[in-house]
Amino acid sequence: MARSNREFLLGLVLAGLLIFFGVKALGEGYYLLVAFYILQYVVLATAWNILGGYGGYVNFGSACFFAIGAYSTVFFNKALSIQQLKTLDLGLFTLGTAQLPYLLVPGAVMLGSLLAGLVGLGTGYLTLRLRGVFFSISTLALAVVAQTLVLNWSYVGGARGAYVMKPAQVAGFASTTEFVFCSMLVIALGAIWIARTVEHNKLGTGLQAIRDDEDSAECSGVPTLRLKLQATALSGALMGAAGSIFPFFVTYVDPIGAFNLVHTVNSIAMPLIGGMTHWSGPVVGAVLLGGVQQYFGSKNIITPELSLLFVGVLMMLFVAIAPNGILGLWNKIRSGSRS
Amino acid sequence: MTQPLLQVRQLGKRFGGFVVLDGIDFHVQPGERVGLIGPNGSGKSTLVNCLSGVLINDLGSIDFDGQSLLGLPPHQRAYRGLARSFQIPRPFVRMTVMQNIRVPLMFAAEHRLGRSHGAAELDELALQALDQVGLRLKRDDMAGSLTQIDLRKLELARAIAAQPKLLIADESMAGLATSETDEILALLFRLNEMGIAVIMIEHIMRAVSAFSQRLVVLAAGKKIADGPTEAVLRDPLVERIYLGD
Repeated sequence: MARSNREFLLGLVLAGLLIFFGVKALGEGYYLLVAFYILQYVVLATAWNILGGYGGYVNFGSACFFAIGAYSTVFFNKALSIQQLKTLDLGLFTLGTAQLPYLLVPGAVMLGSLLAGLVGLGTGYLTLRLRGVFFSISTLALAVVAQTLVLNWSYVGGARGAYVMKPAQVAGFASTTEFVFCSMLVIALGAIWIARTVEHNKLGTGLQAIRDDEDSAECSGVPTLRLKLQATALSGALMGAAGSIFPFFVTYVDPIGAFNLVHTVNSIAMPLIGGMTHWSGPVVGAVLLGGVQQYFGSKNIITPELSLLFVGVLMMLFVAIAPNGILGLWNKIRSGSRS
Repeated sequence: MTQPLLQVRQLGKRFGGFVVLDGIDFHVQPGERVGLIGPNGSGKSTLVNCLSGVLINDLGSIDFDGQSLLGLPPHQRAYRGLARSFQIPRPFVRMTVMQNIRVPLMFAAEHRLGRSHGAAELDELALQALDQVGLRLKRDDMAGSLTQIDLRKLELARAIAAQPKLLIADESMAGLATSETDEILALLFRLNEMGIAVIMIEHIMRAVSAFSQRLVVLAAGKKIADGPTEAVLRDPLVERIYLGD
């Protein structure tokens, strides 16, 4: 296991470098934008799948956890007057404008994921005693409650939304956008690493047992409530991490964008289409579905609303025809050709 | 007399206004084979659910291995050495047979051991459990694709893998053919020889009477008899209520 872990890590790093320099070679602007959105969905889908795919608990609150991340960045930017910060004296050395992002962006990610993780833990504690569909309904309610709170909280912009300035420059990167993109890339690869680790460890085994039969799992010694809480917190934290980067990229956050239904729908649809039993399923789903959405969106072939409709139809098709997603189809074809 | 492994006192459970279990007292000695019988609806399954923690009893106490089980969730009871099989097999259908066995090994057994099994050790123990029930050759099959008898065996293998002190076998033979029943019966005898106390809940009288050293009889939520198998089966009250006039 240790050896395959090292190989996997190496593969992730190589994939990261390839994506980074590939996108860079294609030129900034459009491709960077597309790649950023796809990576964002890789994180959301992978995070959703930890609880939803392994554990079988459908979370309808992805947008909420994402928005908590985004708004934590907005809040701390404002509360700590980070916009005005030009230099930071740390005693041993002084960070200039170009170095500050190295502290600020990871800091924002940590805060965002911590907050979203705590909200996940809290919601989980209140709702995970509910089984199956009742849990799902309560996550939907959570999203509505959180959105209402943010809408009426003028400090973070209320319904008007809030601006978050990008750092003017980042040492070692051609542009700030490139730096923010790189941060999302690191989070995405980290999320994949975490999902794969969970899949093979005790948490993942326990979650899969819970998915198949919760009573049976309990009687085999699986502490179901604790594992579900861990999964909800972890899943929420990863979604929050993705959300906390978002304001740096788009520079403007409003409740409609942050709490958008698209986040929720996509983070469910992508694992469903890719396959929910393996870490690679959500990644495949995010790249395919995210790519198609971005392509058609950019050509003005479909509006975002139509795109949502398209995702809905695709989800129904997959549930009916290929409930195990593309990975399931692929495995079927492979085992078919072998026998 | 040694201290009982399981001691149930004045156990009561009601669903709304309906009293399902009423003042049940009984015990199981370490390594003992106890048959629990009673007509449909007499409260056998509710009793099993109260013992394993799937349901919480309203009244009375359950002591296991010298400790009270009150308020403990099922997984805590599994840690202490109480395992059960389900009346209708409830495997983890989207896992292979081998993965099914890994669950109790990684949770119940590891908790008692106080450390994690290595990967090789885990496989070894899982195969041992599968050997016990004769499912080694099907280890890579999906649990959802097993036949009824194999599902029963898997259910028992999963219970054994938790390395219990007490196994509650809830109708492990219901719906099986005679030869299959004998197979399960032989398996339960083997487990008992390993030192595991067994409570067998069963409708097949041939199997219960062959297996049990002692019979406990429930009727309408009350215990109506408890004693050596032969004596209980001759009890006129048991005969009338359970076996018919």
